[in-house]
Amino acid sequence: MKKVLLLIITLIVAMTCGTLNVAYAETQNDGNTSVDYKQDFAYTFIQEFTQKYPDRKAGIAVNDVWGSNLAEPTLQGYLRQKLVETSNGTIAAKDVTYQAFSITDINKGYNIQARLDKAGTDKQVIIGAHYDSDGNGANDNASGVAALLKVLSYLSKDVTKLSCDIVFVLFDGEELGMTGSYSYVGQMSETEKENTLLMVNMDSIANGDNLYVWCENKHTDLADLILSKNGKLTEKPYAKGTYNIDSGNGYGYLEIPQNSDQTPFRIAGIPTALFFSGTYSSSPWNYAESTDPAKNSMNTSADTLENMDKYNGAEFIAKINATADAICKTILDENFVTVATAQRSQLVNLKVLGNSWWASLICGVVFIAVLVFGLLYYRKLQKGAILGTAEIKNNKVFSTPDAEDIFSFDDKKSTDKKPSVEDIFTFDDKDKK
Amino acid sequence: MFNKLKANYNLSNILVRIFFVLAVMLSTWQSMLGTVHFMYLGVSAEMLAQLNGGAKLAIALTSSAVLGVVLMFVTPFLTGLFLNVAKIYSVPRAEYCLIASLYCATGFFINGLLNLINLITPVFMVWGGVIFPFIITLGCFVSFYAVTSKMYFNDVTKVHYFKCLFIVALVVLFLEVI
Repeated sequence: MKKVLLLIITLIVAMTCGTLNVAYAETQNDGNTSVDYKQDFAYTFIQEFTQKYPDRKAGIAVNDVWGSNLAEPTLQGYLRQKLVETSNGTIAAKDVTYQAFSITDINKGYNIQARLDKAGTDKQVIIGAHYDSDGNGANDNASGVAALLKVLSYLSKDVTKLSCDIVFVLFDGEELGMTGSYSYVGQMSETEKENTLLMVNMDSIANGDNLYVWCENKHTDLADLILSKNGKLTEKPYAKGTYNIDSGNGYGYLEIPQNSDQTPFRIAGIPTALFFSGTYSSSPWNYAESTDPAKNSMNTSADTLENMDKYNGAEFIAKINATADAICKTILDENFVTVATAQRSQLVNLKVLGNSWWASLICGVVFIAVLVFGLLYYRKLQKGAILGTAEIKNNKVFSTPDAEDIFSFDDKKSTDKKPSVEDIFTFDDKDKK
Repeated sequence: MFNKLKANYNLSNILVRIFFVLAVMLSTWQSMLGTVHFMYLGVSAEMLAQLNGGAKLAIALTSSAVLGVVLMFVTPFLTGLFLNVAKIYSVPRAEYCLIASLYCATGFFINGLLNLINLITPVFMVWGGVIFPFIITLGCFVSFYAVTSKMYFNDVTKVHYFKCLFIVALVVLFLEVI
């Protein structure tokens, strides 16, 4: 009885200690988090944005976009207002434009665009982030929108320092398969594509283990330039071939660590840079943020500001700031236009390597050759059949004993000489004699 | 060993079936992994987030095995159907179906081996995805015809056999191209 009591007491003590440990850990976590980062623009923006619009599925606000009578600004209206506010007076509300695209027969999505004009140049850089989400989307992708607003705020302070136009685009429909960015690229003219030096995409930049930039699956000068601008940035190791192809896009894993809004631009031959926060895993389809499964919240209801606070504290704001810092410094670098222009020549040629159409063409040619050869061979067989042997072939791979073998008890049978035709039909009885 | 197998149809049948399932698994696990990802993404992103790489691979391999078992039954059925439609009654049916299964399994196996190149170098992934199955299918048909025509058909009956098998091969290859 004493032993049982002792066991129960021990168990109770152990469980209490466990509970205390958890509580202690939580206290520690809260205690470690600095309050300063909560004053940062990125933090306050994400907080406000995710509270006001906790569900940002593409197409849900279709009727509200133009709803000027509504008391509260709509999702798109709110973002337009933010773009104007952070542009230091360089962008007026009327200059923020919507670009509509169909999601379904009824619903539409809207890309939101604003432009910082640099006089005397046709060249442009597109900086993008998607604002739609699955779930609350604090990391995916309120963090990207926050970084975009920071870049706008910084670059708009002195437009004369810019070496080209900067176009800021907030994409809709990324979670539906980049429908917004595909539509955007589809509406670009060939001249616009030629004049676009670079497309920068920021997607889920706050919550992962590492902050990395991805330009091409090989060394490029542009990647070097971006990496040199902020020590927090890393480059994801080049894929060795473990990414699966996105056959729907005809776009190989050679060039992308994952599909996001930069993909349509890259397919169109425009150099891209993706900023993402995650693991360096090269497993197929693994876009995980962390090696710790508990921290992986992308596209789930756990993608909240509270969880980013809990798991990363000030670190996630530091990543957003590092992204914005690297982009601003890269664009303002005196060598930027030269490096970005040269980047086109360093891109892997998707038209051949990434396009399965050429392989299908080769197969088609072989198919026709087989067809012709087959018909010729058939003609040859027909001719051979006229003069050929018509012997009966009843070969078998698998040997089966015949009935005689089974039912015969005569061991000598196989060695006995069978009577020949001559033996049977001869009337000569010499043998008998 | 081969002679022993030739003398034992049942053992050969079992071994070919096992080889068939394993070959299908080897050939399809990579594409199955992508399918599992999108299937879970379609059902629930939260479920997908809870799946680690090992669980995804296990599901993909299981799905490949199920596919292999299904194909293992479908292949002899289709071969039998071909013999019926082509009105070829002179061949030992079970044996012919077994040889057809063996060639299919070999095709899947070679395709699986070639797909492993994707894990080493990405160069052939886009092109290989189209060219590998086409070349392998073509090779399997040619060698299957060469062996079976020699075994079961003479110069006269070979003409009809070639015509029927050639039509089937063209249909399959055309589907591969498109």
